[in-house]
Amino acid sequence: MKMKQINQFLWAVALVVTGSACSNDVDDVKPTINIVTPTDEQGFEPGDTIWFEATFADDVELKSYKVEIHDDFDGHEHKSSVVGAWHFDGSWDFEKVQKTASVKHGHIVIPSEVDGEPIAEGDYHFGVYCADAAGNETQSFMRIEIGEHQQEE
Amino acid sequence: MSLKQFICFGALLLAFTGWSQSIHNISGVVVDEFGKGLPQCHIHYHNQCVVTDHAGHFAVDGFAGRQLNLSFSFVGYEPKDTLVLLPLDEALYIRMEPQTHTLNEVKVSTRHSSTPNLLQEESMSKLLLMQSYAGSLVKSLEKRPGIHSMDIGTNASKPMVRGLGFSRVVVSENGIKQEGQQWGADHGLELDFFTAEQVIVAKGASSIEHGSGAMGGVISVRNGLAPNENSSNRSLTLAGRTVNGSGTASLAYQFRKTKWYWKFRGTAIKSGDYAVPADTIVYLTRQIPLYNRRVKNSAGTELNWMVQNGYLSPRLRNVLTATQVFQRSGFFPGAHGIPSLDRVADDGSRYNIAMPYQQVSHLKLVDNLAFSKRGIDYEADLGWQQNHRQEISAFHTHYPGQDVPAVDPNLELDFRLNTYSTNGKARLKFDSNYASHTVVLGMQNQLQQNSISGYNFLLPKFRMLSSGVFISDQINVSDRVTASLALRYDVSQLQVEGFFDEILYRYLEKNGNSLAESYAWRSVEVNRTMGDLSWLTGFRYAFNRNASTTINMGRSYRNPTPMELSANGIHHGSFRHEQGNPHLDSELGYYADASFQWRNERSEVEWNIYAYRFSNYIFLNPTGEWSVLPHAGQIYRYSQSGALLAGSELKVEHRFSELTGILAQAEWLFSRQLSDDPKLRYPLPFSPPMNGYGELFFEPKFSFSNIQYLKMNVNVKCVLSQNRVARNELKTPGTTLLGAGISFDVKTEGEPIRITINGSNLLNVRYLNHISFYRKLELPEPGRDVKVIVQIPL
Repeated sequence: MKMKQINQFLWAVALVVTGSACSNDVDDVKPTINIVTPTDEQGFEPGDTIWFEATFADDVELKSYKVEIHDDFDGHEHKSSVVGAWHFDGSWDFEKVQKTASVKHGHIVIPSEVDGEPIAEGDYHFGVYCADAAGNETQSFMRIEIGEHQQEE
Repeated sequence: MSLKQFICFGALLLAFTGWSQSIHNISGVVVDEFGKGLPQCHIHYHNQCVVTDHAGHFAVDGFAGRQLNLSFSFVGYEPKDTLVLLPLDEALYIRMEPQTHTLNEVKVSTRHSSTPNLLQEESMSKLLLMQSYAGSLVKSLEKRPGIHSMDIGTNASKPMVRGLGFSRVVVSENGIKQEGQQWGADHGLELDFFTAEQVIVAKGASSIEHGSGAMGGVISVRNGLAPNENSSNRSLTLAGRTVNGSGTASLAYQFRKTKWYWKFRGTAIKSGDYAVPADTIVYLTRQIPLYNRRVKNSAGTELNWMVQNGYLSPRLRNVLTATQVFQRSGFFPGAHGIPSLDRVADDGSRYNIAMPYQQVSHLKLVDNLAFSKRGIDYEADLGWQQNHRQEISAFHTHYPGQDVPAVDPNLELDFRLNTYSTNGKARLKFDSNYASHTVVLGMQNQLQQNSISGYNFLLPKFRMLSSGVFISDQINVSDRVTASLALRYDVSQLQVEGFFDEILYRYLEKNGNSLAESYAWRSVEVNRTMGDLSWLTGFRYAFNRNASTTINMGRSYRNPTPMELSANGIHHGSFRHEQGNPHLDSELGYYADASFQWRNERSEVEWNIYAYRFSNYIFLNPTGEWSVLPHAGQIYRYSQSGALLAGSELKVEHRFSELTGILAQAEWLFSRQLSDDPKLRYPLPFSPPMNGYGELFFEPKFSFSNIQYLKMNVNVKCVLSQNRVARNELKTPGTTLLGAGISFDVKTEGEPIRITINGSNLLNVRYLNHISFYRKLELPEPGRDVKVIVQIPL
């Protein structure tokens, strides 16, 4: 074994023998997400713009966030993919190196049609993910309703 | 570490009593009914214990007084008590007679253990296992330092030795490596607790015996002990646990004329949803209720059987064992996808197992042959095992074009892993001018074939052929010095079949995703041949009868698993998108340990320290790229990095008197990735936190009415918080848990009834376990549990 490896070995053993707990200078703190809009159980109509407003914060540096919307019919027990079920996926990087960011935009538009069929109405999951520069990730979910709430069979 | 924690920890250590006056020595040999030396026979005196060496010899000193009571015990033999007058002029000759009763204690006609080495071992006989009963085999081993149980609820557990688990620890039964889906966090060990007759855990890098995957250690389970000649017994073991309302029955029958014997066992376990001291948990910022303070759908069923046939003659021994272990256990609905409140609503039944659930059937046929010829002992093991694992979850899809399958619509995942193993060993003893040598030459071959089915894709189809040869030499230089050397070389060839997901491809392409094709390759084709060298050297020096030290050094490896090389997709065992890397090398680790043992009349101390330096530890690296798959955050890619893992175990046992004593244990573990960039030096995931264990035990010598061999203990476990975590791993607060146990025999006309009652988490504390499968859900560990186990000879 190389000298460096032996040193690392002995160092680790010494640490263990003295029972000292090593302090980290690694970043293991996740960013936080605070979603202002939409709100939980908020209702929308096909064609609406979902105004997205949120603040993100990290102790070191934010990297990017993602918004994902997909159906929550029958609590994910539906028999096959429902015709017209909408899936939205969008991610945005934070432009500059920053610890906090306030995001407001209207990029998320609910279509009236999906694949040529009218959009399936009902409950949808609205999920927001955020990652910091070190790779720590946070998720936050809420429910939104599109159109009239229907009983799916 | 706070001051309070330090004191709690320090309070578990104790002071030693002083020495007595004039010291006497005793030595001798213990033989079996054939006059052959009996190794590993226990000798108790003053409630201390030593074991005989490989030739049956023993020597103890440090006695005061005029006489000494020695108790000799060995599994399958009548215990022997001798009163010895001190000082002793000549060596003792103790001849043990085999027991003529009790199913659980059986005679050993030839003792073949694993290839000798000097690694630290924790060994448990059937008697001790029963007294440590904690619901499953792995959980019952957890009290020992260095051994941890990664639990999936109360029905399934997987082992971890010294912070290394999953594919880095090997479990073998009767010499054959157990192969299932060890890589999976939600896959428990498929072994019946009640069939185990002896468990030896070798701690440290033990590749010599089993090749790939034994970096943390080897848990060797044996159940091939032969019943006594002209005997026949039946026994029924009943057990129950309050935390999950479980009931267990295990029925066994064995008989032997002279050369042939048969053993049969059937075990059935039914358990319900387990209780937790909590009404809600907070997961992904949502409050999830736990109705009735129980984890919904954590119920389980287990059905096992074993048939064993043995043939024994003075020169040859053959044991053929067929077993099947079937386990079905439910998943908490909050663990599959984003939880919604309706899925965790009370379903009105504690014992039903609804979707989603997993089930596994592990079928094995193993033959162990041992014979001697011209002074060389030969062993051959042949095994076939099939691990058939299924996950059943109501059909769901996010992609148009995927229809409900006509057959098995709810079969989400199905893996069928067939493993064929052949092992051979030759053991030869000879003496040179300076030392006596025990040389073992061995070879192992294994063929694994995995086929898959189900509406969802997770694990690819693969085929792996591997072959290893090894040589080891255990050298006894003198009573004081023993050395051990071993070398092994393995070659393995892995073929993984690629899988292109048409439905996913069309879905992503339609959405204009340029990465559609790379996402659609759910497994990448891999064709690899790997060659790996392992070695292990050890050195033991005995200062005197009371103190010794052992040092080991070695090189150990692990082949990357098909998942690590080839996977691509969401894994709900870990709740994220994981991507394999076909360019990974075999994980290589250099290992060193040192241990010190010291004992006197009343006390025993054992201190181990160990360290691993991995040159390419395989881990999941968060890439910062968002996955386009639903429910997925970042993509995690399998990568390699240098890593360091080091730890220490301390065990102190002290007898205040013949009746009472104390046991104290502590373990530390430290891990970190190596990198030139200090910002990347993350700890390794699933690192168990520092913890201590203390036990006060009583063994009153009186017997009243029909009760005898009464043993009682109260114990406390202090677990410190784990704040050293890998990225996106949760930190876990510490906890203190109180337990107690009692075991005793009830005399009957024939064999006694053995009863053990163990209580854990008696204060019903709400706590989290850092290495538990449900940690990510913030699901608390089980609450107060009282386990009762009754062994009834019929």
